[in-house]
Amino acid sequence: MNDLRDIINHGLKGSKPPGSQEQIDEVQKTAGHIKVIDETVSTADKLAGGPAYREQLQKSREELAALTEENKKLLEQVHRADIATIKSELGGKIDQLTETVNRGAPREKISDQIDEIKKTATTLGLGSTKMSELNEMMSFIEKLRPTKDLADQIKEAKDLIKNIEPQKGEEAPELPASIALQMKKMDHDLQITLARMEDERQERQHKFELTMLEFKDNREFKKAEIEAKIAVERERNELLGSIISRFGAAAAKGSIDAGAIGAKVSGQVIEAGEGDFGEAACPSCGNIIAIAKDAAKTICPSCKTIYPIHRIPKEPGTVEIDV
Amino acid sequence: MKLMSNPKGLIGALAKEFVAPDFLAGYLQEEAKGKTVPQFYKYIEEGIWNNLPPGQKQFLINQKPWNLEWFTFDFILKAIAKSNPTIACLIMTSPQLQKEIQSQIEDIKHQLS
Repeated sequence: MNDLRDIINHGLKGSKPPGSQEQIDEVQKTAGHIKVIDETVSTADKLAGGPAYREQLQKSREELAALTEENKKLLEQVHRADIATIKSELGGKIDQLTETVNRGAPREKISDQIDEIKKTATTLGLGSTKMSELNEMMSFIEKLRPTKDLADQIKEAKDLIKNIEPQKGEEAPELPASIALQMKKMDHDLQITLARMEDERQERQHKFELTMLEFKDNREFKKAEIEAKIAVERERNELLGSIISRFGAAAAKGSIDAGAIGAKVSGQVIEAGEGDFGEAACPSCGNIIAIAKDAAKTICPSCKTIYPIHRIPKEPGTVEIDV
Repeated sequence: MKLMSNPKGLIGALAKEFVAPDFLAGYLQEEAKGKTVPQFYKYIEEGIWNNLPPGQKQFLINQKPWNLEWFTFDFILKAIAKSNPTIACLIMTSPQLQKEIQSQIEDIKHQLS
């Protein structure tokens, strides 16, 4: 390699006069050759893979990594600075809008300013929820004529912009672990309470149904009982009615014939004082029977039994008769 | 025919034929209800017509002249038997009571005819 350089240098020195244009051209031409040769030599060294080269390569790699990291940080700083600028710009626009509204400027001007605010907000990359809130507020401002309340609305919009951080996706705030755990516990307790309430409700419903069934049964039973009583009463009245009808004819004849009125005559005699009247218990059925002052017989209205009355002479008066 | 051409008269006739007997039967049922033998004797002694409240007496008098064939001993006995069968049996077994009631029926008919 050195030999080649010497040959070239020697040839240059000897062939052309120094300082001439030809020499300059020659030198430049030769420098180009040297550069090519250096590169060729360097490539040959690299291919040889010497230890010096490997050490240098390692250093270069470390430097490159450090530079890349620094570059990333710088880019992030630039991004933040950009966002801060845009936010500041947005705040300024909203202030401008406030002033415009307070001045009572024409609606077209307000609309233009609102459009600008929207564009800036879009550049900020707000989440869709916040963006829709902002849009609603701005639409409200656009629809109404400027008033004092409107200025408040704009202030609210400004606060909203201040409170939001630039983000690309939907908001998904993460709660602290302790609060999340507590909320889960509360949710669990709520589920248990709801389940208990449902159980109690079902139990109450079941009890209510049972009570209703019992009530219906009782009602049916009482209804049947009353109907049975009415039937017995009706039957008794019909029988009594037939006796009375027959008695009407018998009374007309002046005598009561047991067979004629469908009654039976008992062998048992009821004793009563002469001219006594009152009530006694029927020996057959226990129902009340009436004894008239002048009656020689008495009829039980329940069992239709005729009892002869034996009169014992004594002082007349109203007494209860024991049979 | 005369009755058919006079609606007021027709209503009056219907009242006589249907309302008055039911009215009197209802009154007798209420009077007999729950009465004991001595209480009933006292009631008969005082007289059915005399025990009738003045308003009801006037109602029956206002029906004059009318056919009172329905007002019989059997009518009274049936009315009483519906609310107090024991008293009905008392009447059935007492010739004295039957006679007294029959006599009062005649008196009442005389008052209302």
